[in-house]
Amino acid sequence: MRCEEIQEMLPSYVTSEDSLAVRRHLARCEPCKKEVSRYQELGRSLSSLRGVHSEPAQDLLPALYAIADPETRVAAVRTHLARNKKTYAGVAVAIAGAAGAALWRSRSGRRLIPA
Amino acid sequence: MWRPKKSPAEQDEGLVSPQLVDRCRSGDQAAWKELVDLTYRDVYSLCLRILGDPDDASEATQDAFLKAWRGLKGFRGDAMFTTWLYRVATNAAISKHRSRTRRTKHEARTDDEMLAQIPSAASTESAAGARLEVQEVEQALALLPESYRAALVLKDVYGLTIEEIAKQLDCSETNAKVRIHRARKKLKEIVYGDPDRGVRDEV
Ligand SMILES: [Zn+2]
Repeated sequence: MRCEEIQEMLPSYVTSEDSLAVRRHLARCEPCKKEVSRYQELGRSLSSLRGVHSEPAQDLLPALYAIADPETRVAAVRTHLARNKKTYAGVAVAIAGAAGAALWRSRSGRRLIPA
Repeated sequence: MWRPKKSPAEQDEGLVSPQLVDRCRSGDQAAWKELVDLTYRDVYSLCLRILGDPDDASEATQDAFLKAWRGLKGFRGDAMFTTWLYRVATNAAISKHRSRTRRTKHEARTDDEMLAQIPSAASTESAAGARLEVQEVEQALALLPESYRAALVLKDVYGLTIEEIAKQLDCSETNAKVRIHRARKKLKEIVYGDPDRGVRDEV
């Protein structure tokens, strides 16, 4: 098989290793092997995200506590509904352009894989 | 070959004790606060990764905990509480994701537009074959089309099975596999550049 065909298979192959043809090709093709190592690096990075937490906005936690409080629950739900309504009314989700630095409040800078 | 080392449930075993769940079920507010403290970051982070937007993630998190509170009475003690909570949270995020997809044209962006948003300086390190920064991976994830991202996050970050993912996303298992396959490919192109486009290709 040609490299292009092999590389089309790699995204799934990296977690299944279920193709003998791919395995044989990789044994003698450096560029494709390099591609595999990239997918592997991504895979390791993604699974490490599991332990990386983002901190929500400050008003979230009190709202979550209030759920169990009979006196405030009604108010919490009402606020919640109001917020949803506002969002549904078309507050543009500005993710398209600005998804980026501001969005990711994860405790970043931390490396996924210990150096 | 890499695999997530442990399932979410295994990782969090012991995080929320059955006793704590019992106290919550009986209406103990202090216990609920404790339970929220133990789990909200996880739930919020999961929602944020699926949705890519902090406000939507906050709302999905509230939805999730509201449903969890209401569902506590029916919660079967034999299931792992955190596993159940993640399922509730994933559902909340996915339904928010659906409602948002209906009201925005977010997914209409072309691949070129997505690739154009990537700060080129951010990736010098990974282009050199070193390690990937958390921020870089999170940003790249945010650039994926939403339907791909949800599938990929559930599989490669949280270690759900294809069967579970298909159920959560209300699609066939084949479709779930295809989404994950394409998501990985797209993510690889975003992070390392696509040779065909000449984006940050290595020499
Ligand atoms: Zn090759």
